[in-house]
Amino acid sequence: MAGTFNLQIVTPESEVFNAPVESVTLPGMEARFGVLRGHAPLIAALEPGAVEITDADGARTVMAVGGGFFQVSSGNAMVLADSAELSSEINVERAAEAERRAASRLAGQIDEGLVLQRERAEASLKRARIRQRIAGGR
Amino acid sequence: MASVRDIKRKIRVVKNISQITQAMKMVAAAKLRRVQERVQRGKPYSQTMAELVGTLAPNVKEFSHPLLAVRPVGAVGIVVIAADKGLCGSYNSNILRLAHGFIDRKTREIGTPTDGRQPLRILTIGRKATDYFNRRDYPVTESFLSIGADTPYEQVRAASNAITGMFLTGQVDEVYICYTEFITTISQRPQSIKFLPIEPPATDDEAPAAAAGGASLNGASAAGSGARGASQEFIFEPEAPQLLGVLLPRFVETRVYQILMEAVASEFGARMTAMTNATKNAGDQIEELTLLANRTRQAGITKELLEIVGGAEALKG
Repeated sequence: MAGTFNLQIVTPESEVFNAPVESVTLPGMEARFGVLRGHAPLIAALEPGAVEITDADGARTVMAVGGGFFQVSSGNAMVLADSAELSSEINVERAAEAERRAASRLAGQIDEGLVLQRERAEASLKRARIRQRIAGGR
Repeated sequence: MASVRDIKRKIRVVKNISQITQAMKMVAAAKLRRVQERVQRGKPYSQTMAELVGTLAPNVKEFSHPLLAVRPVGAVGIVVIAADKGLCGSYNSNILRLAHGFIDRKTREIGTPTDGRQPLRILTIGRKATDYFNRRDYPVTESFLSIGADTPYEQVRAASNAITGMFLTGQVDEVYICYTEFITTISQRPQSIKFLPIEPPATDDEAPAAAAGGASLNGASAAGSGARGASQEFIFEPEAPQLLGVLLPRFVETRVYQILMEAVASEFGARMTAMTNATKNAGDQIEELTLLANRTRQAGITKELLEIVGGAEALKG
């Protein structure tokens, strides 16, 4: 195997993950991509989605991130996420509730044309759906 | 002339007050510690965020983003951050006095806008700020309450969205924030800062002189210079300008978060100091009152004795 590198996942409030891993797959804005040890320096924007981590023992961890950024340089990888939760930690009820709220907000605002609020509602709708999918997936 | 009983009652009252102030002091200290820990936990994120902006900026030559738009100023938004509660010394009055003066100055500078927009939008955070400006009939456009040590990040995001929203929708051309800077536990400084549009970051020190004209956000560095300025050749995905475009809103959000947490820390610092003083003053007062009580009691005894002796003398004679 290619060996491990250090992965750190931080949110504005705390550090969620900090350990050596073997590989990580991320939801890039343009496409999903994987990172192994020795990856060329990269800065990428992330969409809301799943981050799949394979650690040194080959065990897999899935996390839901609410969008953010990824940086890898000189053997260190860092995810700056708006939010990050382990798939086992996701509160499915809350996510479902958030989905309903966002959907109703979207439905009510179409004619007013408030682009900014619309974008936000769409983003939170997407986040809520992804949370549920990841929680349900495994 | 107060009787011994009155004084004793007063002592009890002061004792009770000092117990309350003591408790409030400890609560404030604990909360201050929590805020500081929280800020500490968020450090890796905000630091890396700033790093990213620093790495990206030199790679972007022609860049415009709604958050950077400099417009002629016809209307301003002012955010005032104060506490929900009092009993924190001069924390609220200092920041509100500063904000009040600042708002009046801005109002004079702007005058009446020609395009019929509201010249001033005030956004308040904290009940004290809201009440203060409502009472004085200032146009408080929006207000947020109870942002404290444990406020979830989503709520901060909502406040941040409201702040950037009025700028992005063109309701205002500049946004200022009046908040209290946390220096130490016993020293806080109220100040007002220009928040939006974002000032382009200063020229990167490490950028080579070759990139003549500076490598600032809007600087005209040589076309296609790539990541020459940076210590490493980064791959950007998507391209640097788009990446910066998605980075900036988050950058602003973390700024709001930092400012809010700093204001909250200042509040608890101020309350801690105020309550320490209050507890000390209560102690002093108890001492004085005890002395007075003892003196009054002694005076009473002496008076009674004199009366008895006087009475006995009168009977004898």
